Amino acid sequence: MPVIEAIHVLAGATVFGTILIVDLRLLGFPDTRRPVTRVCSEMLRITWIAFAVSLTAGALMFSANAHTYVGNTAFRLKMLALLGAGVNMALFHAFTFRNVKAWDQNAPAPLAARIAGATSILIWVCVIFLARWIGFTKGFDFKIPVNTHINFQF
Amino acid sequence: MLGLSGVFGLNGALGSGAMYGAGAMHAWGSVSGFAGWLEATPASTSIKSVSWVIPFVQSIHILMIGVVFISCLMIALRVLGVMRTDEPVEGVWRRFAPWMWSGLVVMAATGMTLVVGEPEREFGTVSFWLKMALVAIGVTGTALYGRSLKSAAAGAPAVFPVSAKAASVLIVILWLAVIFLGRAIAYDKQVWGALSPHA
Amino acid sequence: MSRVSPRAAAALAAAVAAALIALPARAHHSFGSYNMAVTRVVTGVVTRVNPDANHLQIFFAPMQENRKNVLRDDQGNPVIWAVEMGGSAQMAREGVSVDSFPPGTIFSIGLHPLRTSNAVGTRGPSGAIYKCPWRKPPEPGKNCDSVPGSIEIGTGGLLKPTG
Repeated sequence: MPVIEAIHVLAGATVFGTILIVDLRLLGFPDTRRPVTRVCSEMLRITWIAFAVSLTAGALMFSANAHTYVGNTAFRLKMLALLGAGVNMALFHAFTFRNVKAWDQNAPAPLAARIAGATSILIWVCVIFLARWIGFTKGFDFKIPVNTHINFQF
Repeated sequence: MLGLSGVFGLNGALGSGAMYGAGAMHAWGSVSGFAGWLEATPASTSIKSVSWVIPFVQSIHILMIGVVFISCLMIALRVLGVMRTDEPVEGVWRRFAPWMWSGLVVMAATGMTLVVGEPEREFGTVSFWLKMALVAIGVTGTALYGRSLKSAAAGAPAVFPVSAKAASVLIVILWLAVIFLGRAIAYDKQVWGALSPHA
Repeated sequence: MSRVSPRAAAALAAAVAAALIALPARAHHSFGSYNMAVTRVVTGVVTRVNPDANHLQIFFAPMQENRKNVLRDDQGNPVIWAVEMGGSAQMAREGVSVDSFPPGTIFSIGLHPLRTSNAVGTRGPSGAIYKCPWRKPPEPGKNCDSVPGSIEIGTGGLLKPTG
């Protein structure tokens, strides 16, 4: 378990760190010299590998405690946030990214791209906070399973 | 397995103070006493009694892992000639070193908050002390690494010498070990077996 | 690099090693949400064991002082409490698992309650758990450690309850 959790943390942090570089580039930080397309292609390779590793480790952690996770609010919100990150990315690639040639280099990205970048940073910060919250709020299910008889009269 | 009986023997000797004399035993007394004292300070009590403080601080610590580790990875991959080859190394260093150092400062601050919150949980593990030792080596190593990169880049080599590449790989592995040890603090007995004071 | 004297290095290593050995054992994550200053000794009947990887949880109905039946609320339903301990793999090695603590098992434990609720506690870093022989509750006011044939899990006996 500690190894799987450490891999999950490391891979998750790698996803965050690499996406942060892409998002900051969309926001024009530190500058616009390097082409957006180049930054995207070199960083997102790492992002996707890390994401796959994180997902695998996460699935193992989930399967060890499936029951406790599904009822956990932080876990559900985290899944929602991941979905949000996916939608944000899909919209960016489907629309904003299509005319990237016009703002690839030495030009500020359009507002839609900057909003996508800022949204992405915000969502991934939330994902990591929610992920950490799961471990602290897994909670207790006090229900007595059916067919459990404890009505003793000693 | 051979090592374990040796460790047990060592434990016994240290426990009775027979092997290392009064100086060492006095030193452990201070570490243990310090943990106890810290545990009872108002700062420690408020950190642990507000339920969101510890997960909040840990989350920031994890975010900073992303910042520091990726910054270090970018520099290392540039030296290895894998990535960002369109930029000179000192450009890559200038781009990422400030993030790396600021990230490390934030990690030190959040890490210290966690230690003040639960000193006995941290001080009582093999992983914590090993991690601190590796962090010290890592920070010193990164500083030296940065200096040697600058002087190497002054000579503007097209390809870095093997030693620089080896140092890049080593430093990445070192931070990986630090990250794994960080998670292992919660599992000291499982990870270290008989070496752990929890055993 | 300046030279470090072997004696100083040995003393430092010894101090760290000794500190490691001397410090009390701690469990998985923080006990921060638990009030470690309060200890309560309870004897209860297991309703469910949740083999969570990080913290095994035992759900149980605390017994009445007379040990004839479990505590009940105003509607007559059993009151259910929970106690957390080490990870499931670790606890299985010590003898606490879904199989060894089936519903109906009577056991005693010293626990530290949550700061926010009395119904949840942690075993904390020390103290033993006692499992009564099947369907053999302790005498009134007593705990499983007093029942002949009970099984002791962990060391240090039952914790002393605080007032």
